[in-house]
Amino acid sequence: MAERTKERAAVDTVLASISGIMSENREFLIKIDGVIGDGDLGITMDKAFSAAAGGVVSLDEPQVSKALIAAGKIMAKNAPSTMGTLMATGFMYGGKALGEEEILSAGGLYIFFKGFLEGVEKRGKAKPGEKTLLDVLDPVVRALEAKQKADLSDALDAAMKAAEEGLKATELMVSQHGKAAIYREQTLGKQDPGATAMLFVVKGFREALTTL
Amino acid sequence: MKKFLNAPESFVDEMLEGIMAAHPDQMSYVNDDIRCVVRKDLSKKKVALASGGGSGHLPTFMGYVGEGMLDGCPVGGVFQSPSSDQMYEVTKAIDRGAGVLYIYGNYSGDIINFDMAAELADFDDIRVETVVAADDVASAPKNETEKRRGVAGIFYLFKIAGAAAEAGMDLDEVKRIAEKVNGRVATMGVALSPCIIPDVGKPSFTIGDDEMEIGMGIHGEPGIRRGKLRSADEVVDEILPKLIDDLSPESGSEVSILVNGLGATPKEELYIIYRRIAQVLKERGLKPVKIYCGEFATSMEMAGFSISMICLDDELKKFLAAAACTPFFEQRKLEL
Repeated sequence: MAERTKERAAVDTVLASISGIMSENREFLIKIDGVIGDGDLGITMDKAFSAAAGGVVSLDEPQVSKALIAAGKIMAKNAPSTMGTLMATGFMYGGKALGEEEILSAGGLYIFFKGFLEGVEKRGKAKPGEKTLLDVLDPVVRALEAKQKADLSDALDAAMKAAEEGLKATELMVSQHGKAAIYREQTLGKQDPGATAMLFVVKGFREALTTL
Repeated sequence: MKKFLNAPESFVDEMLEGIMAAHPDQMSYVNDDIRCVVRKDLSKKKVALASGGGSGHLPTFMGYVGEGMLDGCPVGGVFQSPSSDQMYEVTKAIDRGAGVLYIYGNYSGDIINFDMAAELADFDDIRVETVVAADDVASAPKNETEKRRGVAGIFYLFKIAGAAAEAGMDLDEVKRIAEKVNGRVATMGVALSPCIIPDVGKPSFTIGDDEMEIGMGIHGEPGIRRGKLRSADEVVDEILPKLIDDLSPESGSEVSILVNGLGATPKEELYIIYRRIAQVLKERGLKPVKIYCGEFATSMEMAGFSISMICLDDELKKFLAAAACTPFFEQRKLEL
């Protein structure tokens, strides 16, 4: 196996970090999804990211963008739930958007998450404000856009803050999509499970990239 | 939970091993994945039809893989979508150069996975078109049909679009016909008991011994009204007029009816239901031309039934009458 560049090694670290967070929060996600969804979110997120983390670390692929696309493909195969496939789509589109860019810069991170957002919007046919992961993803992309020239850690701090505010805002929204849409008004006052998982992804990036 | 199982986690794969062992002349699978079900004989050049979705609804979906209906069907876990990868593998296997039509129910997991599979197929220059079945009138009003769930009425899409494909129509035409069926079929169900997902091991919801839930979905989605159980005739009188109002057929129209058991209702009861349906159709001046009574889209061991009605025209009637032969559904050519 070819030696990993620092950039490429960062992909392994990011996925391991997200996988760890999903695994720690498995029961929490099951619980909040059980209230307004079908309760399998913790299982599918844990499965998706542990497969992706394991697959990417043993993958002989030097290019960052291709490793991220591969992570998405592994998720799609291992966790074909709605959120599993949306996360998979995000990594595939984010990786594709990245091209020759790398992720250890604020600019690269912006390109990745912008691609992630475009992929999820296309696949999920939802808009911000409808109580989905987009309500975390969209503010994160806007925060990163404003920090393109900033320090990586500044950009990650801003992204995390935007994610937290975005998640908080979902409490005031009514679900329009997926199984949660059945519960409609009963979803008021509760944070969206998918948006919560999205926040964990951002958290995983931050924890991995600021400790490098 | 009382079920015939070996292990809950092997429920789907062992079911598939059984089906493959029972029907080796009609069914096969691709990519070394028993969940990627395809028709055995794929030699005829024609538009290919694929469906797919979660397990737990037999004969829907894979039971309709065969002559005159579907060519392939990825199979997911109980009430879980198959992966985009499995759909893509099935798509590649069944395409004979004339394109592939996806027909599946309106559920978010299925939609995103089928969309992704269509995108992957597009890279291989396989043309894919999609029709999403949305026939459950209890799940959204008529002005929001795009939000309706797909339930037993999807049988008519498989049957009629399948016959059109078998007759050699091109992809645009088969799609047009499937969309026409979609606009002319309506379904509503009623449940008396919950279903149990083997992996979960407990009922998906509770319902009193003396209660029924009108409009319940096939995964236990809440219906529109829960109340005391009433007589078979009274239940038909509540459901059927909703279908007729929704489709508003002209007097004298020809319709086909599908009375579908959800898994734990005997055929005897389904025919008691149809007895009343026939009376109401007559009162309304509607002509039933073909009746299907049995299990077509189930929900594990849920007790209950659904009624689907389709308003026919000459084109749809011709394809409904065509022969079909799958492991779970056979029909000789009819004179309607």
